[in-house]
Amino acid sequence: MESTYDIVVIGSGPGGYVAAIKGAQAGKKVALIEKSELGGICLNWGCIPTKALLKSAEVAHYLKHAGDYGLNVKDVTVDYPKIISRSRDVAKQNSNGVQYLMKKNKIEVIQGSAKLVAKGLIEVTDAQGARKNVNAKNIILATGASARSFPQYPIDGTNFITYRHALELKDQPKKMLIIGAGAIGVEFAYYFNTLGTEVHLVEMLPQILPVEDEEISKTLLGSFKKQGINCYVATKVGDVKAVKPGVIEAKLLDASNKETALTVDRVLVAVGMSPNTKDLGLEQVGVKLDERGFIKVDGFQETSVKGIFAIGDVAGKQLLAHKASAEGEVAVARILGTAKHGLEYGQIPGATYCQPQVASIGLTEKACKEKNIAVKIGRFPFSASGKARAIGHTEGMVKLIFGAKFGELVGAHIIGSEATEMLAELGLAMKLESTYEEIMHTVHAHPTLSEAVMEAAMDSQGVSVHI
Amino acid sequence: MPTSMLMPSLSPTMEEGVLAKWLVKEGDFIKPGMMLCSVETDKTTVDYESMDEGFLRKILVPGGTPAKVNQLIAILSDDKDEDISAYLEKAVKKSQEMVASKGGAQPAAVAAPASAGNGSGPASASYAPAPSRAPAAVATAPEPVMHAAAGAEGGRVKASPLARKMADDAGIPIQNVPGSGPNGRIIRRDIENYKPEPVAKAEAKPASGKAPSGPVQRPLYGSLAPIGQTHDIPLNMMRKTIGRRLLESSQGIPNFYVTVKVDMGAVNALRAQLNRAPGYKLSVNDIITKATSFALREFPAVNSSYHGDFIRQNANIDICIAVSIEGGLITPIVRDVDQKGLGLISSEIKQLVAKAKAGKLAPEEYQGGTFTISNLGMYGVDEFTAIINPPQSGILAVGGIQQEVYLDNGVAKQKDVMKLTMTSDHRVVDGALSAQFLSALKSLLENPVWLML
Repeated sequence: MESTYDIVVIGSGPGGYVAAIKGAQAGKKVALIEKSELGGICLNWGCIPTKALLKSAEVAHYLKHAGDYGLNVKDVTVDYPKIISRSRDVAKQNSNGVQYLMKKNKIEVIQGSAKLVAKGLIEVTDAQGARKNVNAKNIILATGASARSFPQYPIDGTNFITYRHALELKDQPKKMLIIGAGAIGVEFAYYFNTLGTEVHLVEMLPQILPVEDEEISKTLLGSFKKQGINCYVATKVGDVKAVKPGVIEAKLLDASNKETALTVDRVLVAVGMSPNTKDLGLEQVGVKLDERGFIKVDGFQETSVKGIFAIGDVAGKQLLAHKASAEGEVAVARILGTAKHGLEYGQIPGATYCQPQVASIGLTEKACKEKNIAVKIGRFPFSASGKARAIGHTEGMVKLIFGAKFGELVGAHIIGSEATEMLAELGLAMKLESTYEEIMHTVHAHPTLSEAVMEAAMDSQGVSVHI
Repeated sequence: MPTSMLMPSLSPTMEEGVLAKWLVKEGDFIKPGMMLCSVETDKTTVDYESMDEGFLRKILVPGGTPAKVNQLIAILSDDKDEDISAYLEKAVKKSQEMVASKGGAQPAAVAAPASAGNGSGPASASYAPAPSRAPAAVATAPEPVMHAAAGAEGGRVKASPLARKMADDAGIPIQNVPGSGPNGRIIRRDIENYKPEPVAKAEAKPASGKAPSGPVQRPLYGSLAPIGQTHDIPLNMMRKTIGRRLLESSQGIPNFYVTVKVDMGAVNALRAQLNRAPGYKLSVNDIITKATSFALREFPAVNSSYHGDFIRQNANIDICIAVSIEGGLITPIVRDVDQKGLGLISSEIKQLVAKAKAGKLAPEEYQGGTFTISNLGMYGVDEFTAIINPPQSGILAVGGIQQEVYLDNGVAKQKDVMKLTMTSDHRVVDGALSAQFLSALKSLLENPVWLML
């Protein structure tokens, strides 16, 4: 039987399920189509399970340094399958949480693969191959993205793996090559290295975490080297092939074409994502893609076809869960007729969960230079923070960039043990269009790492108290 | 549950109003936004809008009766037949107490602006950097007035810190900017997109209002300048304060003007003689200031201020001198003028003027004062009228010295004359008193040697 929904969302990741809930909360009849687990990559194969793995690594890191805190811990061994199973359990619990939310909001979940047949008509094929039609007044495409594949790195799940395989490896690699030092590559480099794998991290661009501020990236590079991670920047991967299962030979070429030969037992390919636009019937209904293959949308997430929206990774820009959720809200608001403004893409925070963590929002120092924005920069190193010293995490700093004329917060960059949690107040400051004055005159609790934010704001005016 | 309806304060200065007419009657169901009654205030007649909901059970102030602000005027109740007698008794008592205590506190409340803001001059307004004063007074007024004040100077404007700084920098009056943020918050985008209403358009409005059918006529003075050259200058704090106080004064005070012509021959002669003393350079204005202080001492009723319930005869003779400065004017004060010699008065005025031009006057140097002198003589002005600087009750406008031909026993002779025009607050100074005061001042100036007494 065919039924007509006000909104049908395709894909249940953090973009899709949030859009579905927002629509349902506004009293719309909503269906959510998912071909796999509810929650998408984020909950099942991305943000959440990797944080579980990284927590195991952090605990291992603490145990390794337990002596520094006056505790003698002996015979620490890694139970690798347990680390993986814990991560899977966390993912499962989160996915169940989404299931509950769908029920609570009376959203119909349709299992199967969706294909647009015509404007307002979707064909869903379930796992058994049974087909049914779903009618929708509005469609929100939230199909996400997948790891990009390259012919020279044939992903086989054993020799060449992606993040997804890494999340459920049965055994811990001994020596690993990680290609690509974006957030995924960097997080896995920290994770595997901390657990005892010899890690070689290669990045083609001149810095690890290429989107982050240069100074922050350099600080992380120094820290990674200290931790024993072999980092290669401005380096290309030349010939790489598996000579036999578990033995992969790779050649690295640096900027001056100097060659480094490596033999590893695993290669993690983390070089970008590509949008999931195949087999969706986009062409058939006339939804246009941009030159990079992402779905083209207007400021309110509407595609070239009226009534069809796209959000999250499939719609390009920053491939981040929170950006997807925010776009979901914009799309639903547009459908409801309440949207006033689209998303402010300059105010999307980024977070990387290695140790030290890296978190940022807004422009980097270099971007300000390129855009000819006159700025005043304030820094505060955690080595000058009492709290940081007390907890034994003095690495890193807070770097705040303010417009020179009006003092508005243009960019915030933090590297440190709790950077990702500390960033929130700067996101709020930016949203409220605060200047250094509001930040430096906000009384921060003592002792906290967040005091460094206040001090960095002061430093931008040359009046920091503790440096 | 019964609730009280009180006499609203419909203007910042309103203390009492006449409840001219009820627009609803006992037993009516009142909804927020309904017009309840017409109230005559000290300035105008305003229809009072209800902010409450309920049945109008009892009218306590019938139409045509005066009532003090916050006096109980009616009782509402949620239920049509609820017993309100107990509540009524309590509310009436409470209202009487409140109105009584408010009356007692009144003089102090009214006196406050006097010390905070003072100033006057050619246009009689003050450069009082106390923008919170007016809004504070308005804040107690009920909804209808609040709306007017919100957009006006000093009302709470929701704006981001960045937007405020940008508006300041661009000279955009932030309260004029429509906000597009949450609940109308003004954000960066709004300042960036802000375009002041074009002058041509603003001019067209009243014109088309008067003659909707005809073509829009540009005013004559406008036709001299091409449209492209007009530009809007945003008001700074000083201009706003000048505007506000000037309007308050000219609308709120029953002014009248008296002019005398003074023979300045003796003053000129005395001045020439005094200025031969080494180190002195007295101005005509210094002598007028001294003479005024003597006239004020003779007529203390003129050296008075109006405070609503009473008139205060000031003990000291503190004279404000209007000084034109960049962007406006300010009125620094020479204290106890009658106690000081001409030399001291002259040097004090010189110092105050220099400080005023440099923007370095301390608040106590321009706040207060009991009388004001504004002199435009140096601009070749014959005579003019000035606007009183409340709560003072008089201001003296000094014209330039002109030569005049007169007949002395049939022989044409020439003399130097100057016109003085006094603006008085008729609530304090009556016509005869003003005339007597000016006559005394004229005598002092025509016999300036008396100033040595």
